[in-house]
Amino acid sequence: MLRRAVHRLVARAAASIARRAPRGALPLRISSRRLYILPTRFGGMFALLMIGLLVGATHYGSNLAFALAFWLAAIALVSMHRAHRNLAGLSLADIRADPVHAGDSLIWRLTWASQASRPRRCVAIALADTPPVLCDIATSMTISVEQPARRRGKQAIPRVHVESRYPLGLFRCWAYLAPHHVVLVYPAVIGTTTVRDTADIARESTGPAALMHGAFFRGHRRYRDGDTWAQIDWKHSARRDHWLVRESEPPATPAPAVFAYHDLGDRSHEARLSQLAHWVLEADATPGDYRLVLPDADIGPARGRAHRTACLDALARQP
Amino acid sequence: MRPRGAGYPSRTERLALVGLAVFVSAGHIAHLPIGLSGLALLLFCWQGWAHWQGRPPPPGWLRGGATLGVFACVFFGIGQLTGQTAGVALLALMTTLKLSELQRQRDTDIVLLLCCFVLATEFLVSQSLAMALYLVAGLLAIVTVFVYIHTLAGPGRLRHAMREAATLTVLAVPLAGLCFVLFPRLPGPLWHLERDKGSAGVTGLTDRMSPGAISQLARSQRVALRARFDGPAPPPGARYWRGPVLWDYADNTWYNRADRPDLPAATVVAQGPTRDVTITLEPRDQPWLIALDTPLSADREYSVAAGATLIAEAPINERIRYRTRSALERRLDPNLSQAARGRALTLPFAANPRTRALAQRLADETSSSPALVERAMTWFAAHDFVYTLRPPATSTRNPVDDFLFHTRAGFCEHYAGAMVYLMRAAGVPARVVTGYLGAEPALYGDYWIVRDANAHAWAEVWQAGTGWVRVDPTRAVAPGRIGHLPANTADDTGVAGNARGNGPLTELFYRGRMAWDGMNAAWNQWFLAYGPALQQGLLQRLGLKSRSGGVIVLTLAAVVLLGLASLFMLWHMRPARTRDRVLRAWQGVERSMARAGRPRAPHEPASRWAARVAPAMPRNGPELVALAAAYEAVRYDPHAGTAERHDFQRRARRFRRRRL
Repeated sequence: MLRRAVHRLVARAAASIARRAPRGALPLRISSRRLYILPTRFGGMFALLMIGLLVGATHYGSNLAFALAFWLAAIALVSMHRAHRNLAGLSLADIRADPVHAGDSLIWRLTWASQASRPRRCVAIALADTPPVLCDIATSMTISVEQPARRRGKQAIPRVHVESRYPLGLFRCWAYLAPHHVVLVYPAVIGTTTVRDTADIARESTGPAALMHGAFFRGHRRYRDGDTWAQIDWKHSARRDHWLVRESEPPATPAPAVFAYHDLGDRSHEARLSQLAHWVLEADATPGDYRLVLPDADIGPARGRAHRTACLDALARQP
Repeated sequence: MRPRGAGYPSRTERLALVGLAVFVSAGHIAHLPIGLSGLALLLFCWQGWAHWQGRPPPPGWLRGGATLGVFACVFFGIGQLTGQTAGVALLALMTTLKLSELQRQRDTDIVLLLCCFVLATEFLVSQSLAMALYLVAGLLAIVTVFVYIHTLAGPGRLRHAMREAATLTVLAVPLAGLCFVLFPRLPGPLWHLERDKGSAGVTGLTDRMSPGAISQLARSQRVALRARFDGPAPPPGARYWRGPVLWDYADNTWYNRADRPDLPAATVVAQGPTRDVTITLEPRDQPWLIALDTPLSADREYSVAAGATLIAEAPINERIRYRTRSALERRLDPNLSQAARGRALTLPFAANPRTRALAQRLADETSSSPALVERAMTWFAAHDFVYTLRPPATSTRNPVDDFLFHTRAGFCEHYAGAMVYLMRAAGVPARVVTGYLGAEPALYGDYWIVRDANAHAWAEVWQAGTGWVRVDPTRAVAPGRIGHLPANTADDTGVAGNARGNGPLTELFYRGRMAWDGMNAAWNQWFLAYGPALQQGLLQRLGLKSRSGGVIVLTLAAVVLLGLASLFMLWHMRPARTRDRVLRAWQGVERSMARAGRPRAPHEPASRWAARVAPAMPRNGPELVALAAAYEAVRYDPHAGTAERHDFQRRARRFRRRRL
């Protein structure tokens, strides 16, 4: 009964703390009213020790023991205020995170700014349930917190937990920040590659045709000035007295690869998106344009970084 | 969230804990029996070495075995496992053993708390001024290690920990002082106090006087009591401090036989003005309330012995302060009871025949007991007796004969004992009184110091009509002894000399010792004596009815003091001010804009920010854009002159006064 009441009380306090966390656009400042402070378990043991010292000092009538007990207790109380001052006024200035694929680690780079003339010591920063990162923050400090990106789509930064037990470890002073920041998580890169041999390509005229090497081998010819080293076929040249150069047949207007959502009809939604992401990355690594066709978008054909990003963004934003 | 993870505690953190444990145990190591001290040092060295080398913790069986071994050592070294000394020894040794398992945060936490506790137990042994300095040093060390453990590795970590510890300690002083004065004190002990007997060195006057007992004491320069006279000090010849009175004699030892029925309490009638003396008595584990001879009353619980000595309820094992009223001229037991008379005449049979013969001869030559006393004193003065701290040995069969007729060299106990023997042999009731003679005025402070070196013994002889009269044969032998300081400890000739000798070094030593004694006296009076009784008095003087009133004041004051400390730390963490006035002026502009809800983003250059926010501010926008341009021009143009800088600062100030 009592336990349930306590649980309800704690839950309500936690909800209230969560509601009151500073939120919104950056920079977010930890104001002293949004800092919470409670004794740690060590602090509890310290309090018991103080009671023991007082009883002992009374029993033995030792004024020096009294002095030690009172002095230690006073130092503990002052340290509580010190812990509070250590965090009050710290602000989260900037958040950066590079997009990642689902299943990878999302790395949040949080930049903290402090205007205080003294560094803020031993600050532990964690996101939701990630292991905390400890650092001293002088005027500005960027720390990276890793978080697994489990699901594709928009991922908002979880509540930021800032905590410090400085200076004596007797009190735990903490604050929550709820910044508004979203990063896109691309689909996981899973699926079959499109690498096929030339015969297949030649036979196939429809379907997603990707030209991995951009050209087909035609034959050898004699080296001419202007040929690059990479073009030389060293193996065959070794048997001649002149260099042989591989001559390729440039594909006469290579048709842009088309990756279409509806071509992968037999798979689940996420599997299709993963396969498309895989193809996009693959195609991006090879010359040639590619085009992505989604139910609500048709991107390209084009190539390059911006195109790749546009494609992946579109994939990430799929419902 | 557990902030400390793997790799904690690091090697330096472990070594810091070992060092702290050594520092706070140092006092115990100095007093414990030598074997246990050696064991503690050995364990400390082992731990220091192990952590220095980064050894893994010893296996469980070794730790368990070491724990049992420590218990065994304490039991055999001290003889018990309970009691103060044994408890302290166990605590110190267990702390050193705990150092062997510094694995997790909990271990370091426990060691830190143990160190606090070990330091506190040091003050059960001694509360001197030197221990107070030790307290401050130990406290600083403890707080430094606390901070050290809770900061991150990096350059200047130790220095920062020390500075932070000093700041915290100093900020805590007002609150700690207030707690000390106002926190409700209860009279101790709270339960049965099993206090160890003082170590052998701390004996003072006892209720036995064998040859050498007092001369042994007289070699010690320890303070026995400090006295403050109301009004002028009594004349040197009257500075007798009354201790235990000894009635019985056997085997050349004066003592009080336990099997004799108690004699009735002495009756003292003052014959002149009385003297009020406040005495701070050092603890000697004896019940006597030493007072100026002859005490009439004291302001604490006491009873009066047959010898007119004041006796406390229990042996005094802590320093106490009390006020006594004494009469220099008095009539002591004008009517002597038969029992007392009989006891004051008893002598063992058949020894010291020459002394008995002398007593008979002196008694025959005189008609009254005052005359007999006078005759005896003259006899002592007429024969060349020597007053010395190192008298030659006397035979066990006829010690008094030997002393009076052969060696003729002794300390006050020999003279007093021989005098009483002589009187009893002549049929006059007599007894031995022990106590102190003389006092040394303090150089710094209005009080007098009586040391163990002042220990003295004299005789009292009963005379009809006047009662007990003091007879001090030492005065006949060594007149200088009376009213002056006793022989210096090293002075082999033993004849009275002044402790305040000649030469600048002696003078310096004297002044140093007096200054130290003055500080100790003030320490005793103002710090150590503070307890429940003084607290009650203080609260009443402050107009507080009870202790709960004190608690309320304490709470309010604690809130105020902590608030002040917090403000100080806020000031400590104030925003860093740059020295560049231009930058400062610009930061002011940014601050007022931020207050108006338009902060500059950290990555934004000044002019771009101004351009971004200006359109939304029709009145102040253009000026902001102009200011940003001026700022960039002044700040980044190496040729910007003083005039431009001042102009910019003025404009920035004006901008900040605008309503944004």
